[in-house]
Parts: sequence; C-alpha cells; structure tokens
Amino acid sequence: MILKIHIEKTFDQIIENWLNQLRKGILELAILSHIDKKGVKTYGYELIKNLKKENIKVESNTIYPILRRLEKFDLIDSIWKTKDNHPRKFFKITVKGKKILAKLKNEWIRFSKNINKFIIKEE
Amino acid sequence: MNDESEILIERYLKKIKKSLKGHPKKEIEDRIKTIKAHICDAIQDQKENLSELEIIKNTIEDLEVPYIKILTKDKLISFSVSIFVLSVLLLSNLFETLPILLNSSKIPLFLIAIESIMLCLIIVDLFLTFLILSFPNKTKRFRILTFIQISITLTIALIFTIIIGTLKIMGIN
Repeated sequence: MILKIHIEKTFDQIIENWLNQLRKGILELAILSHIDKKGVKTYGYELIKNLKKENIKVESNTIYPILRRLEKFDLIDSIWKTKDNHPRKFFKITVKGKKILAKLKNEWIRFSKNINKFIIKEE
Repeated sequence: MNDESEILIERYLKKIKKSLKGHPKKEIEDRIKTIKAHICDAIQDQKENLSELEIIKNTIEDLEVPYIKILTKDKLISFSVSIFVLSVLLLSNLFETLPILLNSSKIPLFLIAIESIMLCLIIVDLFLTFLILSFPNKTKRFRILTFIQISITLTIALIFTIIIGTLKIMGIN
C-alpha cells in the first residue's frame, strides 16, 4: 500500500516536473505576448491574474525575474506610476520586443506543429 | 495597515535586502518597491475574501526570498588557495625575511619600507578574501573586489620577488 502511494507520488512528480520545465521555457513568450496583446501598459500583479485567467499557471516568484530579464534585454520598458498613493511598475513592449515576439511566435508554432505531427505519427 | 502586518512585511523586506547584498542600490530599491506594490495589489484584490494578515502571509509565501548562491565550489577552492598562499607569505615574511632585514646593518632603508608595504598589502588582501566570500557571485561588487584582490596578490608576489632577489644579490640569506 505504502509502496503504491510512493509510486503514484513519483508518477505525479514526474509529470509535474515535466510540466514545470515546459512552462519555464514558454513563459517568456506567454508574458511577452500578453503584454503585447494588452496594448496598454500592465503591471506585475495584473499580469499574473490575467495569465491565470487564461489557464497559464504562473507564480509570483517566477514572473518578476522574467520581467527583469525581458527589461534587461530591452524587450519591454517599465515606468513607475502612482495612483491613490499606490505606486505600480507598468510594463510595455518595445519595438525590439515586438520583433522578437513575432519571431518567437513563428518558432513556437513551427516547433509545436512538428512535435504534434511526430507524436501522432508515433501512435 | 496594522502593526502585525507591517512587522511581517518589514521582516520579509529585510530578508530580501540581505539576499541582494552586493547588487546596485538602485536595483535593490526597485525590487523592494516592486514587492511593496505587489503586496498592496494583493491586499486590494483579495481583501473581501481574506484578512489583511492572511493575504500578506500568502503573498510573501508566493514571492519567496530569491535564492542567491553565495558559496560555490569554485569560490571555495579559490578562497582556500588564497588563504593558504597569503598565510604562507605572511608567516615567512614575519618570521624569516623581516628578522633578516631588521638585524642586518647592510640593508638599505627602501627594502624595509617595501617589506612593510608588503605586510600591509597581505593583511588587506586577507581581509578582501574574506569579504569576497560574503558577496553573491556575478554581482558588480563581487567582480570589482575579485579584480582588486588578484591585483594585490600579484603586487605582493612582485614585491616578494624583488626583496628575495635583492637579498640574494647582496649575499644575505
């Protein structure tokens, strides 16, 4: 019984680890795409909420390092704005970010298409 | 915000600041401000369902303290090598070269002066070696300190060679 629970746990862990790895790689594209889709500036908390609404699991401790990285590469811009005594850091996609996003989208579509084709063929 | 909430946030921000030791001041301020803004947003968003304290606890749990690897294998190896070399240099200078320099009447004054400079540099270098150990890797301050430490070590080696060379030329052992 204990062994069965342990095996099931390991099984779940393998799936969870795999999903985490997959998410890590694709999250930058999702975030960049969302900031671009929004058109207007968006802030960290709102971004997390919106991504969760789209069923994209994202944690607060993951999103901020990604936003910092995107900003470091000049793919997004940030500005501090204060409303009702509450400052917020708003992000907006840059021209360079838009160009990179278009390429990343194409790469993702091509990659996922190939994987899907491969998986179906294997079955 | 009540006192308990404020204490909780302050304690968390202190941990963040500690984990960001060695990062530029501007970056630390920005990170702290971002965290504060995130917590405020969470309170505003969830205040109808949870108490303020619970929201803060959950948000802090979600955010976590960023883990910065301070001690790496490479860093420990270079630290051990530096400490070993500097200790050997310090001891050999204090118990061998310095007594020779002080006891011999033929020794020029400049040699004693550069010996004193070298001893000071060794102590500064030892201090820097320990200081570097406490800085997170890949930060600007860490790189600058490592560069200074390596430069001082090379200077010490050069001075040591000059002293030993001069003593040999003068025929003092």
